[in-house]
Amino acid sequence: MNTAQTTEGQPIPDHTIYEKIDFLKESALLISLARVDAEIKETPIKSDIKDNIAALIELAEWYGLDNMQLEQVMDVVLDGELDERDNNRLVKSLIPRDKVQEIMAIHVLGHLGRSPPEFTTQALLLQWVVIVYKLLDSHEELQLLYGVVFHYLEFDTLSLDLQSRIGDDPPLMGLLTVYKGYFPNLVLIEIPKSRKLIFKCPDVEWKHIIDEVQKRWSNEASLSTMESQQTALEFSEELSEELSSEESSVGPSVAKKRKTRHVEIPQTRTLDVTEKSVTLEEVGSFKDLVSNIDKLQLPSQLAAVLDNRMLQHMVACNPDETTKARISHWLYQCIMELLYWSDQTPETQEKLGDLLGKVVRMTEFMKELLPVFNGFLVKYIKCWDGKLHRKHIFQLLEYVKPEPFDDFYRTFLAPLKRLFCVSSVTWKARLLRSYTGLLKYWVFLYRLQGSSRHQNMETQLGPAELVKSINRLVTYVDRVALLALEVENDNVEIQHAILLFYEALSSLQLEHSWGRIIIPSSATIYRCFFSVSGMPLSRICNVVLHYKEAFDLNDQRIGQRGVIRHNRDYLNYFNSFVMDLCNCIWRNRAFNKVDRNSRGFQLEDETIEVIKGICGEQVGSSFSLTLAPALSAYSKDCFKQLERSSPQITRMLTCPVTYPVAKENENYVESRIAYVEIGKGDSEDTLFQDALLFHSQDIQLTVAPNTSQFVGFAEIVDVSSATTTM
Amino acid sequence: MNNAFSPFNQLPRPEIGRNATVLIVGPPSVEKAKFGEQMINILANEMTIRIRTAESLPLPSASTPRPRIDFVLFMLSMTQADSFEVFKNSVKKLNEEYFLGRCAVVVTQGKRLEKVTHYTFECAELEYFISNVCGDMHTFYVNLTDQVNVQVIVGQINSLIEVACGYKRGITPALLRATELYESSYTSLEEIWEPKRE
Repeated sequence: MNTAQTTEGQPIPDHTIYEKIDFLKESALLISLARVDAEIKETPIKSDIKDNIAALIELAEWYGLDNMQLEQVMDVVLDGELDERDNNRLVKSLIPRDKVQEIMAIHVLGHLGRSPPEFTTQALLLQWVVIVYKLLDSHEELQLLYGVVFHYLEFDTLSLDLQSRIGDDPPLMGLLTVYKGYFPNLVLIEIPKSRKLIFKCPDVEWKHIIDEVQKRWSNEASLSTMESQQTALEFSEELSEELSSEESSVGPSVAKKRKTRHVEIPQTRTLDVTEKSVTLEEVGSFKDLVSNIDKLQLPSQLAAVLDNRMLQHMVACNPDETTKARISHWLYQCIMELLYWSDQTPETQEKLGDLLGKVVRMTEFMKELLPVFNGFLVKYIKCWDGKLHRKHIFQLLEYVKPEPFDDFYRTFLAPLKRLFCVSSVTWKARLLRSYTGLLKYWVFLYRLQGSSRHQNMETQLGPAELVKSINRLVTYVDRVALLALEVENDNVEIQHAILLFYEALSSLQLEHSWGRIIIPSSATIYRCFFSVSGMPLSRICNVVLHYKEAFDLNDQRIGQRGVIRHNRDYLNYFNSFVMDLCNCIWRNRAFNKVDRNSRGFQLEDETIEVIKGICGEQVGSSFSLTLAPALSAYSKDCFKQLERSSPQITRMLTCPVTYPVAKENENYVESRIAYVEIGKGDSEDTLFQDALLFHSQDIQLTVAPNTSQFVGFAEIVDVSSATTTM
Repeated sequence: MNNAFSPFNQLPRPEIGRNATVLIVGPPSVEKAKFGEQMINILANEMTIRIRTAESLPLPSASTPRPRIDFVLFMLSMTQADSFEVFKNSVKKLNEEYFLGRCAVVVTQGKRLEKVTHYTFECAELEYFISNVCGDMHTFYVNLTDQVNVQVIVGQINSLIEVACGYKRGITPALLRATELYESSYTSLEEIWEPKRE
């Protein structure tokens, strides 16, 4: 007698279950004998059989049946000696506690088309196989019997006859969709895409009961596993170490639980192999893969690509629409099952997270988001709370294929913008970083359009539409960035994300041309420049420097693909940024509007007067290299270093480093060079790294050593664009 | 008129600290009170929230003066078709000032973890109505049985309430809508509003 207990501590009445089964077996035997030999009359009374079946069902629905019990009940059912109604009721007691042996499903298939059991019983048994399919201990042999199943579907003629006879039957269309994934040339009919449930669970209530029993027994199983491990520990210390390293470290129940919360990705297995082909299972190393790349046979279940980097290489090297369709079909079913056909529980959410993680890894490797996931993102983002699977969603967003901007705005940007308005600083910054990734990806696709390789990765947009979408994306992000700066009070995290975007954009425009060079909005430049932190100040200078170089190169590239001449007003507008920044930092002439192209940061004269009223005569140098709020601490440190290192200096400066003070002590120009050098030499500090500050100082020395005759970039840009159109 | 209300028809209460009055509109079965209670609890440290509930708009006549309503939340349940109907009718009776960032839609997924197959209307149907009639009204999908999700959504609603009540310096609902793009292809209003029946 089984003495195991449930988690509630109750003894399991296995002996009662066996009694009931034995009674039913005997009854079936007696009925069978009575049929052959008329003299046998002691067949059990029908009501007894019914009572026993009812009692068995009641026990099975709570405790489930172990494999031996299942086998015995199945034998009674398949023998078909009980009457049809009893037999059908008996099938309902097939509620497994644990994994189901594959052989039981094979037995069911083996009895298809035979009588007994009756056809209604066979149908019920098939439903049972469908329900417990995921609980089977193996699927290998069962998969070999697909032909048997398809035989009953008239699938040998591809079911097209059947389809023409019975019309768009959803399960049949579902099967044809799968088949079309493998042989699109054979299935020529148009299969409509449907979000409806194709393969419904044949009996939801039955499945629910089985799930409940399984859940109850998974705890029990883990307890018994722990018990057996403890026994093992007593026998062998070595084994104990092994166990602890593998399962016990996590706890067997946790390990089991964790496993059930992962999406099951099919294993890499190739069934249809020819003599000449090489399977992925035979490929042991990357070298093997490369040498056999042309002979490799794709595995039967391509969804294995999610977990297999070697297979990802293979699919990336042999891109094919059929291959993508097969992967997409599996993913689509998987997403639908997790999101639309199941209850939204922590388990399904965790499974979805796991699947998204695998898709992200594959997408990052293949540099392409499957269309099925594009569609998923469109639907998911609309109902997204911004928190669940945030990391994966943002990563996937970076690989969305370009489309006409109005459509893209409606499907992606508008819902994201709504979330943007109500989310935290970190969320906003992360979204801006995703937009940076997206911009890089779109420019990457634009470059691919010009090359012959990766034809399959090209977008459906033509070059002109793509450029339009890229430019509108940049303009849109600029607006969103400004909004973020305003709403979050120039938060450093937001500034960092915005600067990453403009650094990427300026570098991309430096390397490639796709039309007009889009400059940041004045507000973005000014807000970063007047930040109280040195990081945005230095980096925005660097961005402006890159833009200046991009404008220079643009003139040299005239005539190449995507290169246009810029309007002089546009160039002058950009020059005003350079002049204003240089005036502030190097020339102690902040808010100057007299110099050529300078606009005093576009401030009204009245506003400048108010600032002068507050700062007095020092207003010009208030934002200089030594006095700007973001740089004053650096400048103080730098001058201290200079004072310590110079033996001629006898007095130490106690006040902020102003222009007259510095001039009194040292050569002002040299001190500023030393200042920049010190800042640049600090490897831990990114301030001054390759920034406009340093480069403008180089040019200052080259072009105009005298500070009073300083020439900024503005003039240089003007010179290079002297031939521009008006 | 007693039943008409607008964001600025009354002065705010002379209280110290941040406070806001939120009106939740929806049929009885959408668990307005439960969600309101959760809002109060979650935002207890942020601001004083007062919740008022109504089954539909316009509000019935009241003998006593009503408090100033700072924010209106429409609550719908995906499993109840009548909640969508109530929303469609009520939103037409809302003062236009509220459409500028002072109202939002909260869509619940039912009392239990119900399946999507039980939904009585499509999300797309709701989005279409909102985009055509209400402009860029925020829509929050919440699972009331998931505390983490409720907490996230209430936090997001709080951000809107703070802006609507002027607790974020320099930020207005109009500023938040500054990045919106509009298309001319949207359905004209004549197609959405029914002609008045005499």
